[in-house]
Amino acid sequence: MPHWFWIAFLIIHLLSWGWFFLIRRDEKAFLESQIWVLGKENVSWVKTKALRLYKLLYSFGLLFVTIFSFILFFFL
Amino acid sequence: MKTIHPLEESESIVAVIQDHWVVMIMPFLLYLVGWLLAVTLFFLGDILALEIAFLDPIFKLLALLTVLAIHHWLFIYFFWWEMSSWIITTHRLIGFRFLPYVRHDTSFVMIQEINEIDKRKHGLIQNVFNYGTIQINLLAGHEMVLIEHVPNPSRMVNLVSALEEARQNGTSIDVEELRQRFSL
Repeated sequence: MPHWFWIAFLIIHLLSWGWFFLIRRDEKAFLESQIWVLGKENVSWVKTKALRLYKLLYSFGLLFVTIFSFILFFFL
Repeated sequence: MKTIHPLEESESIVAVIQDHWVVMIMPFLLYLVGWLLAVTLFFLGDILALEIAFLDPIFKLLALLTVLAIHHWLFIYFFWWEMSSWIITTHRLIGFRFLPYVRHDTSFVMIQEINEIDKRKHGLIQNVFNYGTIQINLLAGHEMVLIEHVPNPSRMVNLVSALEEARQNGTSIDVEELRQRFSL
């Protein structure tokens, strides 16, 4: 693969991870506003196990795409 | 003017109503289509490289972009689905709508201000999967609140009606008994 390809590859992944952290920040901000309304004792109604699972799948999926695409294009 | 305020001491959460899972079918199907498109772009690059060499890395980058875009897109929908809900308390209905960087909505309807509550299930899919729209008409003016994609809308209507009745009669609300009665 040419050099410009690797530069574009790096930029795309940096933007992708940047967007991931922005989403996480926004999700935390909304969760805080939900907790403010419902009270800390009711946090389990909004901070659910499913939400934790989605966040985990989101980050692992992204990590998988980053690593897999690097290996795939590097050895291509 | 009414403003959203934290839960009162005498207020308890009875149920949380999320959109029906049917709303996630379309994003998931489009996610699969996105993967198919990415794989096609990947191999198209190989085929076109036999004629024009520089097209190969461009198509590979497009395939990568497609995979990343659909991955982000799917999980944005998952967050929207999980974090957007209506919370029914003994005093009010609190609605949360969330779409990252697009929508941060919090609204509420006091149970004593409900004038009329109806459910609508239109079409085969809504009736087969038992979900629909709840329409709440408020006492003040001609205000109307619509709650869409509610799973088992009859149950929600009955629950809100039971809460409304208890408030009107001034009887105490046993949250556990309500949850058992409505299988929540």
